[in-house]
Amino acid sequence: MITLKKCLIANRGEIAVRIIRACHELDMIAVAVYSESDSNAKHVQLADEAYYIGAAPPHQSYLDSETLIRTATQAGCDCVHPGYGFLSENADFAQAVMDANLIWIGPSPDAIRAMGVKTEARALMQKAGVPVVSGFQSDNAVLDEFVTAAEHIGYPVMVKAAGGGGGKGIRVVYKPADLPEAIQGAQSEAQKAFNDSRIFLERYIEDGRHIEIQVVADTHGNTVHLFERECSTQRRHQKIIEESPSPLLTAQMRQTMGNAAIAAAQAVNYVNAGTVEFIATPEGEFFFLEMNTRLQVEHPVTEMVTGIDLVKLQFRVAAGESLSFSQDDLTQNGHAIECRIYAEDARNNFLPAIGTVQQFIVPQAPSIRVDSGIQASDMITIHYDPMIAKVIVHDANREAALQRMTRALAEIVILGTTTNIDFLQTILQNPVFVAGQVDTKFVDDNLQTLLPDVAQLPHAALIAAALAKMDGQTQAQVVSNSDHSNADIYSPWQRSDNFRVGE
Amino acid sequence: MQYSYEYNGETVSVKLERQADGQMKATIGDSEYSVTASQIAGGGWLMHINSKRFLAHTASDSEAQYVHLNGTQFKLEKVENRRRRGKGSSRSGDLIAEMPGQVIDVRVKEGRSVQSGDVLLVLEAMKMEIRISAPHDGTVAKLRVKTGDVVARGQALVKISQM
Repeated sequence: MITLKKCLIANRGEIAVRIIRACHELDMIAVAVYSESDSNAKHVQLADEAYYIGAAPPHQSYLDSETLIRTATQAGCDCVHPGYGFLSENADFAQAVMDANLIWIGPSPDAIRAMGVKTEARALMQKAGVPVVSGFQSDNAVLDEFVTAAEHIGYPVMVKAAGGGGGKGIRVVYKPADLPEAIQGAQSEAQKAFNDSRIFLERYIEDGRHIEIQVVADTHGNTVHLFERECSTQRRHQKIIEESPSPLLTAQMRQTMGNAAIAAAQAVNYVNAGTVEFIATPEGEFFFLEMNTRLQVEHPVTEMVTGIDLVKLQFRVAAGESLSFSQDDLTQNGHAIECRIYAEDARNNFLPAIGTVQQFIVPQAPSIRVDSGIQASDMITIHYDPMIAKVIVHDANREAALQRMTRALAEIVILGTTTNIDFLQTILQNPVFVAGQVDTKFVDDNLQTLLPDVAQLPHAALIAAALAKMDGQTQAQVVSNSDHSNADIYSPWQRSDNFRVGE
Repeated sequence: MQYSYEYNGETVSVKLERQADGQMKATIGDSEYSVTASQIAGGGWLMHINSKRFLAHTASDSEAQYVHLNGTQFKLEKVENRRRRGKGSSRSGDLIAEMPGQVIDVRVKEGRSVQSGDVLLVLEAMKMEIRISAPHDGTVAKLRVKTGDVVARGQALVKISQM
């Protein structure tokens, strides 16, 4: 029996739903919070209790740490799970939760802070023997020193903000002439975004593969890794498809990277679940990028291949339990793939799409998992992340898993908004992806060939549209007729059951 | 009865007629089909078209008729809606919201002169920022939104008159 009783979930959408389910399986009471536009959301419906916390814009609700902690205390919660995004990597929030005598389902504020300042994290990793890409950092260097350092590192170099992530302040520079402007631009962007203008230089690995290692550590000194996830299929640093195992890794590389990830976690006294991100070269070198001190969007991929429920494990670790397994007990079974479904219009520059989801039908079939925070009749609003669902499949090997994913995506029906499902389908069929050779630049470099052609309109689709329109018109007619009390009660159009047209 | 939609920039039409034998006849261009269909729960049709079987899910909103068939979603825009939108966007000089969003910053006032490329206002949706810039030199003739407004796709935002 877990000692935790009642958890406030400081999040929304699919991850809130995921955490609520874990609470219920652990016999814990799940408390949801919601903004004005989420009052009828799936996570609110599934929770045992739900509290309104403010207006739809995140800084007035899901980012309002005071209201969240007050709500948790008043509801009698004993712990807070932050999910991902929002306040999940905010060390001050983690500290405030603990100061309110609540258990924080995550690592210590110190560990979050140590990994949050990128230059500090680099230095810590070097000390711990974790490979980092060659770079240059100095808090008071003048331009000339950066120029000399860049020559030494070799172009292309990346100019990055010391104070934060999220792609802000990052510039890739291919030739010395462009360096001064990139440094100034990055400094001013970093100042605005993080109130910290410090920047550093790093070698830019162009054809790199994004490979990350899931780690878990308990409060008794045990740290294990749960193998890798490859997330190289990205568009503008936004992950689209993730999988485990990585097609690139050999058993030897996997072991070396796993050990490096454990060393990285131990260097900051990490507790709970976290992810160490690496960039790997085609030659098999790999370097530390950053550590995400929280649950990841793509955690189900790891759950599928290891059979371990990471969210339940997070609660157990936070409750002080020891890991019930050792590194040697863990195996990576078969192959898992995740596709992220975004409400966005690939043909309109990937701009976010909104709308009311009128139909939401997902396949229920062996080894297909759909994590979503939406259901039919939900509005997709402008306020939140456009990721509306994740489809995760598992099978014996990569080829079979790809077939299963292709099938699953074809079966999903999301009507009423525009999604990236057809874009995902073209990536899954691309020979480079099928061969497992996608690097982090692949999608951006090949966008034109990856954008699906506008499908020819089959006559059957046009006929279905007309049938729906005819049906709607006739029903509207029936409604207006009944207003005049001369409704044709024998009309087939009044039957809401399986009535037939043209038979 | 004739039904028309816009698809991929072209008008597509189908004629549906009830036959004496109870079947439907669908005519698309030179092609004729005999159709039987039964409605499925949630919206959609199990159709037999010239005896071939098709399962289609359907839904509609004010903008479009959506059809999901054989793993592909089709968005058929309503013709009457397109005409209405066409008028809205033809007002000369009006800049239109390319995506739905919230106005988070308005950087100009009516009457101010602007240069091509000047940022006029900033829209935000789903963590993305879109800057609306002046397409040419001119004067802000009409400012139709203010900070905090939520705008729909296609909504007129600001009008820039030519110098």
